[in-house]
Amino acid sequence: MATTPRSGGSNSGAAQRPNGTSQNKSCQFKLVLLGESAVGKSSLVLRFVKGQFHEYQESTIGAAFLTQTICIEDTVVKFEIWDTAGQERYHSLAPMYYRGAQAAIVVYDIQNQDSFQRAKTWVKELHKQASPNIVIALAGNKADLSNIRVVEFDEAKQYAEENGLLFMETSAKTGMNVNDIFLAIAKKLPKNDNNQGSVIKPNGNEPTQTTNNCCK
Amino acid sequence: MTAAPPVHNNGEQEQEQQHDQQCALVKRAEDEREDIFKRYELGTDPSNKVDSWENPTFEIYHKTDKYGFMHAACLPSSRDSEEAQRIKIELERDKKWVKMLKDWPPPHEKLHKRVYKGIPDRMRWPAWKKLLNVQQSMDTNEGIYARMLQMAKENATETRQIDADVNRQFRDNVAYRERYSVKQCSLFNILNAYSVYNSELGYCQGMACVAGVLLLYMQEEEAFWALNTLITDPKFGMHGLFIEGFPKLTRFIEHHDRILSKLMRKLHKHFIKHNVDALLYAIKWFFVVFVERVPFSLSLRVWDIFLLDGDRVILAMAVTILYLHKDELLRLKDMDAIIEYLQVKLHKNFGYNDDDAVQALERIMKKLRDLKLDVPPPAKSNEFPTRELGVFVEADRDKKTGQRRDYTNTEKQVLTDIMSRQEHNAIEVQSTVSYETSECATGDAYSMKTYQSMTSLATSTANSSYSLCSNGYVITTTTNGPDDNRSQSVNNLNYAAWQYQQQHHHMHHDRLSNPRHSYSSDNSDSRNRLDLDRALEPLQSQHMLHLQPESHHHHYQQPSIKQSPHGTRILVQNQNGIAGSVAPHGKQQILNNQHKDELNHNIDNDVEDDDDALSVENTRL
Repeated sequence: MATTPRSGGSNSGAAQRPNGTSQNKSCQFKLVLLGESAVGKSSLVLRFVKGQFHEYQESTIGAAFLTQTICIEDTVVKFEIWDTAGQERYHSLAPMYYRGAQAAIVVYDIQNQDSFQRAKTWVKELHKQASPNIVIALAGNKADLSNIRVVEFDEAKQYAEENGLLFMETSAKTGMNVNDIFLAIAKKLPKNDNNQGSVIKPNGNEPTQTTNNCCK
Repeated sequence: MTAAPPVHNNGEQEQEQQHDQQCALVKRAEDEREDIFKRYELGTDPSNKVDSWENPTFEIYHKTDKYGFMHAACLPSSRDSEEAQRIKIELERDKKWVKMLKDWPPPHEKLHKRVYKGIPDRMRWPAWKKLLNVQQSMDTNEGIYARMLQMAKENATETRQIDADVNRQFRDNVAYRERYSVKQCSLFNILNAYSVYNSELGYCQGMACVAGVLLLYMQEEEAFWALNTLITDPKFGMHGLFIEGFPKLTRFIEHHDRILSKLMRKLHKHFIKHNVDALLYAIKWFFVVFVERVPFSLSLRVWDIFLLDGDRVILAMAVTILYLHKDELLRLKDMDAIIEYLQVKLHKNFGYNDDDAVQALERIMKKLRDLKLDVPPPAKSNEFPTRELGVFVEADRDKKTGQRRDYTNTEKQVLTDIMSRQEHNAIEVQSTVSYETSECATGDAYSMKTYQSMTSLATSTANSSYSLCSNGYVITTTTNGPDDNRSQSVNNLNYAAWQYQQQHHHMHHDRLSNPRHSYSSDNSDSRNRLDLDRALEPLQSQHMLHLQPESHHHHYQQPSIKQSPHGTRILVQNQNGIAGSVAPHGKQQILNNQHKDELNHNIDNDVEDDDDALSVENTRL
């Protein structure tokens, strides 16, 4: 599978590989992570971007920004990932992060019912305020703790279907479904050059340079 | 708790049901709080059930530094001569501080000098207590802390959030490493008690870090009152940072932008061009005063100075960081790399030793003072507590159950402010043509025009005059030309008007009662104009001395760039190389004395690197 993200998305110096597959289309998408505090938003990003997991991920103050590039078929997709603070107080800053976003992952913790309710609130808000074509994925995180789950898989799945969301249960700790959820989003995003949703960065440095070999 | 009267009307059964649900939610929130409190009361008692994931394994290869932080790699087993010398000096300073603390308060100059040299680590406990009036607060508020803690057990509404944050604050420090350790419990108690004491503020993420630092040096109750001073004393004014809507954050970021646009215009434009909004990196800097964004030892030095001189230090330190790393930042050509540099790299390795960084800070503070940019416009009343502290106010139901509520007016205002600032920045960049040909733009393939079309692509809802791209808002309507300059100058005029009042009327700014009327008023009359002249005077005279292009400011040859194994860019410096270099991880670059002199010299001469900016100002005048 060509889904394994290459590290170094956040470090432009990491990949100076020659022999480009420059005929690849490259797209860039803005993706925002939303959800209640301590459900594992930053951990999901860290797993996806760096392949790491920190047991004690520091709480996000404001927001963090990272990028990761993946390949699907002949297209190089670069995600600009905005990882937001979960505390309700930071909610007022959220519009700045999700406006203009082409994708969102709304995260909840499968052992916390409130976080699922909060996820629904986020979905509602995105439907109301974000761009109408936004691709939303619902992630039930901490799936490694499914023996003490509170939110049932079927319940969340049904909710996701009713609201047109992608849905997966994920575990940032084990890596389960983490790449997959990003890949599913990438697949669903329009990758036509002229499409409103996608952005081709004219200088093109990052997408081509960092991902030359990722489709092999 | 008062129960709502029963509803008898037909068809309102649903309402009744809803009410019951609400009550159940409240009850659940209360039970949860009680349960969490119980666990903290038990502390490390064996009967306290700790989930396996909550405690780290104590890997023996972890090594702990003098502040209690553990590192993945072994620390050096022997001290080098420089380290030995530092320890010797610190011991000498200990003695001086012991004497000075007995004879408190010392003459200001003496205190200033010693604080800037760095409070010896062993003396931070008594010194910080003095600087934050801890003993005095404890004496006048005897018994209050215990009462607040008790009240928190019964009424706190932020317990779950605090619990989640305590569980991840400084877990790489021995004091906080073990779940429910003494310090973890103290941190939990302080934050809960404070959320009740200052019920208007409650708890905001970021406070755990601030209180966590205080607790490394103080006892629980001391840290509580120290935290209170930081939050409520206008000198530090952290209430305005943490309160809903973050009004002080916006005010400070605006001022930070103002400083950048005046002193480091090239970098400012570089940031805007690459969508690096100050909001991105500055929230953490301002909220926790640089902890976890620069090496811990340096953040302590900044804290020392912050506790002495108040919140203006935060603005100056922000500028200092950007100044010291300006050259490297200008070389980074995408947002990703710039953010990584500011958020991660500088924390691991600042590239300058603490003394040099603090010297740079001191000089930049002086520079800002000379340019009258050291103090931001005054606070509005919403940055300070309006409710009496320590008086119990029962939280409403939404708060108890953690339901989402509508934005407050402050929140709405702040969002608008942020948007207009970003809009303003975007206009500014787009209206400046000279940038294309400037040094830092070389190597970039695309022009501003392309950039503009790119950002408009990112917008899906075209219902507003601005489009929102990547990290925020970018103007897409082409409004370059005189109008933009005017808006910029109006902004400056207002600031100048405020400065004028501050200087010439010798007003004692009662920050509580003096909203920024002079600042926000739109009267660009001749008096303001006069003062703008005055405000820019120092800039202009310095400008005269620096008419040569920026590239000639640097007194060293252009370093060559090599690729390190980590992919980190390393500047290979010649003998005189100084600013903006970053060594690979784990290898601190220490400047020798010759470099230090040069560094200081450069701050004086180089900080207003911005010739074109000044000429813009001049032509406008």
